[in-house]
Amino acid sequence: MESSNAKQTLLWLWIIAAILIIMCLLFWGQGYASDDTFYNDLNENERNFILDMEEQYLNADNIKPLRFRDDTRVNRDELIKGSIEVIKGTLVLEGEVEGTVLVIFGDIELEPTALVRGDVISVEGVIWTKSGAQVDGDIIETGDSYKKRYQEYQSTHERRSYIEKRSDRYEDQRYRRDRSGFGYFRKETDREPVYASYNRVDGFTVGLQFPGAGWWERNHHQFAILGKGGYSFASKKSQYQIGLEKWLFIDSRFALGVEYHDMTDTEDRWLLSEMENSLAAGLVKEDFYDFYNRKGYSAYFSQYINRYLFIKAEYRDDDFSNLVNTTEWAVFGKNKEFRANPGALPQGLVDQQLAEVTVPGVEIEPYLNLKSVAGTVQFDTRDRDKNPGQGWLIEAFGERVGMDEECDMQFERYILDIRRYQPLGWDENLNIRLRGGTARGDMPPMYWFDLGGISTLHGYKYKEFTGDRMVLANIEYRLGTSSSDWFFLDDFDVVLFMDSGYAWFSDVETPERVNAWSQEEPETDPLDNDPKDSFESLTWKSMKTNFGVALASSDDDFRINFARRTDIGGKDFIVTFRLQRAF
Amino acid sequence: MKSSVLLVMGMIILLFAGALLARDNYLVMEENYTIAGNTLLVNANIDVGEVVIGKNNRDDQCHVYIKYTPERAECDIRYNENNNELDVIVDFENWKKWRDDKDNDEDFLQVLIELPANPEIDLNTDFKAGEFELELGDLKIHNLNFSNWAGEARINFHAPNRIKMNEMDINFKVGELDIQNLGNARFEEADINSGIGEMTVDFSGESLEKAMARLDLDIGETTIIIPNHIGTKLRVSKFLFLSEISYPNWFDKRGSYYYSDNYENSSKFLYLMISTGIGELSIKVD
Repeated sequence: MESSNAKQTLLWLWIIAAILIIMCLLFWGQGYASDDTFYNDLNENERNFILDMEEQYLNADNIKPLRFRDDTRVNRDELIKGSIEVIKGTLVLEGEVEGTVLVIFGDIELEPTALVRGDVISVEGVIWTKSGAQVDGDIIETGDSYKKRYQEYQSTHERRSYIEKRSDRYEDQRYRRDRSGFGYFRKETDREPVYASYNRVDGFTVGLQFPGAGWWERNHHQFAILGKGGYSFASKKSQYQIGLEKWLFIDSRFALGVEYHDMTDTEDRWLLSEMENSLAAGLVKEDFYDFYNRKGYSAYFSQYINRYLFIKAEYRDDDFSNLVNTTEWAVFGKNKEFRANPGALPQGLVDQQLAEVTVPGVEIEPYLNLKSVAGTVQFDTRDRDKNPGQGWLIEAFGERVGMDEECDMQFERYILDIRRYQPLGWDENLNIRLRGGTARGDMPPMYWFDLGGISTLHGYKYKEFTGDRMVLANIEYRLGTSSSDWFFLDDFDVVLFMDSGYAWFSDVETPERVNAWSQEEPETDPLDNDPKDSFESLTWKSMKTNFGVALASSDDDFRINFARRTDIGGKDFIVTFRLQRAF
Repeated sequence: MKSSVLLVMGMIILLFAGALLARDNYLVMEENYTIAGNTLLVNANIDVGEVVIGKNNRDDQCHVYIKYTPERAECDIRYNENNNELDVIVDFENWKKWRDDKDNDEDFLQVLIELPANPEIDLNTDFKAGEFELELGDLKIHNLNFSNWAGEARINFHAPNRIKMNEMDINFKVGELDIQNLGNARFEEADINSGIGEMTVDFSGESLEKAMARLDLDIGETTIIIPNHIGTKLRVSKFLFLSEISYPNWFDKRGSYYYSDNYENSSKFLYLMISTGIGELSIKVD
């Protein structure tokens, strides 16, 4: 009976996934548009006019530009390695463009941090250049009036006598650039030299850090010195990471790297950023991360297959150890305490290592040594890293731990994360995330999957569900009401969301077995547990679901969620405040 | 009856006489400097008073006049002819207790700075409290950095600035700020920050070709006047729902921006980036 339920569940999951994919494909043409649909809603005159302008100003580019419709923003930490084209909207450029910037029927705003290696052209629009913006090529405002545009432009492609206002102040320093290659948004954001964070195991940490690999690349290096070093005041310890990455090729970048580290780390960065966690910990005494100390090294190689596809393989050798709370300070919340930082290591291992110390007065730090190989595949077509409006982000991660007998544990773990950002109109978006995790063998507690609370199941307690198996689906339907002029809707988008998921142990005895750390041979080898067979205990009934509504600022730097679980009645709405999107 | 009228008249005469006699206690500093170079840097650090800055009749001469009582005020006028730098300093003891009372001798303080039209002027003001009137038209204002803590200030460009303005930064904390004929300032990029109070910014003028201004408003009532011959674009960031904004029908919203009806046809452009605080923002078309 249970088995038929499971099959039915899987069937439904497949049907839902198929519907989502079909829907996404149907709406693919909106927003960041493919060639077939980019000109769809334009009349013939407009289309011909745009094609003519593209031929005139983008002809030297051998690659297709990144294309956008309506108002568009390139953030400060974004790099476009080719050209960018925007139609019928204002382009606000804070980041860097290595090719040409072309906006047709719209304005261009060059913010003080903007850097354009090529030309900046606005056709039928105005270019607003703020102090500090740098353009290596020409700044060109061209075109005639909107009204004349429709009346006079001939679809026979005869060139009109356009009024072209060309800035010659950069003429002498025109940048000769290689226009070949593909463009992609920078993945490594610029990092300030000084970093700071706050959490319950280290207290306040401050230190210095090297810039990201993107900075080294932009400064024409083919290597990057990576890492950071700082001091934590409450735990009274130093933390550091130092590494070197060397790459070959500019576009299809192949990189090799090594790094060494001794630092506090967490598996929870997918839930919220370190900045948001530090603010929550320091202001309202809510630390959402669970921490462990990691000391060791890794060596890796990575490869950009194309603009969207990235792979990375890594060898890791780490000693993990537990961390405990060292501070109770926060600006608010004097009457409450931080959550206890959970043990990262099996309790039995800790007890065993402590028992082995026979010399009085000598203290040791119990540790767990794990050697592993890990691989990551990422497929990313999002229009921007932060608050994307369109595209796919698919990340698959796998790690095999304990390839030799010296390693303390043997297991494999796998995490798949699929996200789709789908515009349904200029003011509507459907965002979907499907995330799953599974394992073979027994994982240490730090790698167990947790669900519940912020970023996962909003209607449930934080990390209410734990296991070595996990499924999670988040769906958000975003209504861009902040562009209206009515009361509070003038400031907020309305987001309707649904979360559904569950985390569980494939074997209910797993936590007890892991923490017991028994050296006796188990009756069944945990490694015999195949990851794909582990979902047989999942049923519709076991899935935890909540619905909710959120008010979010248009750039998602402030958001209030109201969520209510569906499995039991009478429960109040759970309200959460966020400074970033859940996904 | 006749005697009582005479008595009253006598008292009035005595009062005026007393006032006139008292004003004899005032000190006056007055300087004229001939500006030989092409540039002039003016730093006006004035704690309190009635301050007027305007154009001198002589194009090469700078005139500074300060009338004050020495009990609480220390004044200094310095001109460095090597680098053409003029410093006007009024240091008023405990300036927060200054009252704008013309009949109170201790608080009386008048400053007049008349600037020449020939040199390009960088004008930096650091005012604390009082009444400030800047008539800056028909000069060569290259940079304007206006900072004012409290009081009433009026900045007017009654005639076009003779050169393009490089930088305009106006910071006003508390009180009433009235900026008139800003279109004559010939600025390309301006920052106007208002703290608490009432502010009017009038972009009228003949010389505005293409300019952008960031207006940051905290608390109070703000009126922005835009001439109807300028193609205008607005980007307004509201502070939650605590701002009340009235747009004229002249504007049409497309995406995140408001565009004036003539934006596409105009050859002159104004782009306003407005951050509103708590209060009322009124945008008018002249």
